[in-house]
Amino acid sequence: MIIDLKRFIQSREFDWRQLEDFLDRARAGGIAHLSLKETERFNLLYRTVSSDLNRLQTFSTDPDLVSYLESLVSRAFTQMYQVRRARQERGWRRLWTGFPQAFRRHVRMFYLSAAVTLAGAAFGGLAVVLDPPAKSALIGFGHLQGRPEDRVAAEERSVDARYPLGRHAAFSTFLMTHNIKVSVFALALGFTFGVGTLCILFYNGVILGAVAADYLSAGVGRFLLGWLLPHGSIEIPAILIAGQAGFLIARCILERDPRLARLDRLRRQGPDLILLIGGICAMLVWAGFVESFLSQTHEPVLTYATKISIGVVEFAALVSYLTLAGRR
Amino acid sequence: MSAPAALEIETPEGISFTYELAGPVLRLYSLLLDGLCIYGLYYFANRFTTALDLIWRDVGTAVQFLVFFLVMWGYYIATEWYLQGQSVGKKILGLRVMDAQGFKLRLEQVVLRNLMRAVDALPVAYLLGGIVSFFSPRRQRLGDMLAGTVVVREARRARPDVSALLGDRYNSFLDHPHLVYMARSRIVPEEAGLLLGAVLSRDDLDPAARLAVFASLAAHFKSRVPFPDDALSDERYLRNFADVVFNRN
Repeated sequence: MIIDLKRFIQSREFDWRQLEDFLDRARAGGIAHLSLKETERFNLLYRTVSSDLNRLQTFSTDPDLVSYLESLVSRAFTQMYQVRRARQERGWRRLWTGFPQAFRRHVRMFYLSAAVTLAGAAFGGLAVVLDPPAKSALIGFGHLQGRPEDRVAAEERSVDARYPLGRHAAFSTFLMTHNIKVSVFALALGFTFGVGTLCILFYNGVILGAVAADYLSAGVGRFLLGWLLPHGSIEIPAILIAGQAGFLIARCILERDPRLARLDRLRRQGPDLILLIGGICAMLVWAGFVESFLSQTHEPVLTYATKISIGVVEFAALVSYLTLAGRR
Repeated sequence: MSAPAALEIETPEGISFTYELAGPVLRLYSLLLDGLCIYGLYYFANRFTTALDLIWRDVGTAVQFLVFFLVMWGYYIATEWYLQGQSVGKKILGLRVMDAQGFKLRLEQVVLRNLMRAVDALPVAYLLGGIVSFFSPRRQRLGDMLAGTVVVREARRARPDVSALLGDRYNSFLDHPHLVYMARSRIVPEEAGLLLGAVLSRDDLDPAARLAVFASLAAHFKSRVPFPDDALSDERYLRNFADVVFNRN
């Protein structure tokens, strides 16, 4: 049977145009901006145009008309159906409770991330203690290459406004953006079966261990803690959580689970990865501010005891947040 | 390479349709176009921050860091979200990012697939992402796999105009109602589709091919229903034939 195409088009054309109009008006939020009445109409149009397509696919063979309706129905389908998750909260509220929940769900990956960093730190520390000339090879940053005692003396001498407000702003922005880039990289390199993530974490650990060993053996441990703790108490855990997310990706790729395909496993972790990235970014923005505005100010302007206390309080707050927030 | 370059979706209403998946080459072109847009944004941002630097030196530098960072990571996220799966390059080339199951694209998917550019772009010029998508059945780069997205070629078609089959001309076939009836009852859907397709797309054919195609189709349809042709051209014969089959007034 061949349907009367002309009459069919004439009778249905209005609906097709109306659906097309709805779809053209759909914005980033999809059809959410439509009123209730319009949404009902859209729903009806989607179903009737689907039925038109069904009829044409069965009875007519006009390929152009079929593909026109296919394009309408496929666009409408995309707007009609979406994955809805239970208990979906929006925006910051979702991040506030979702981030620590996601962190706890995959805490074993965090332990792995911390263990790799600690191994790197042990390696870096031992290397500097056992072979001091290795320091120049391990620590790439120019201002850390000299003797710790000299740096401490120089920093404590320059109590004038060494960092005017603008420079603080530039420095903190640089730190935030740089650290977020490194974190995203550590996460994304999970795709290299975790090898890339492991290398970044280990290298980070090596630098940390080498600097710590260098300063501790020079007897300026208080300066080190006062300098590192205010921002490091947030920044280092943020990098570790980025590593956690990278290892989570690696686990999805490496795990053998006959019930679920690899890609499905990856896709299921998507929401948790987004929460972890969101949390990491927020932590690094905070750490960037602190590093620029607080960490670089030393005694006698700000006592080390105060700076260390601030760092300890931040760390305690972070631990409480990650372990307690969003618990039911 | 496992082949299907198309994504088939079946709706809960039992309707199925396919999307043509975009291959690595087309995506590379779109990448180049987006690269130009990003360069343009950098250029204007740089001029702005340089001017700001003159007024307030260090804040200019801070804004520069921030703007470059936002452009680098935010360009694709913002465009693909606000233009519903299309960056500027994709829009120009008719490509669209969509959920691999045909559902509505979610913000978290857009963010994830674009953050993963950090790895897909390795070691240079998206070589890793290109190789992975070349071998992936759904043409997905790593970011697409993680986010559960695909990039499709957008098929957005205009409604075909069947009423213009004949133009304004008089159809002499309608003077033979018994033959009109025979044509409507004898022609099978495959023949009807062939006829309609040829008549609607006649202007797309090159002149020699147009003559040859219409000659061979006319011979076939004359053998099926012998309308008196009164020295009509093959094309006119087929247009009249399509009109009696599809326009039943």
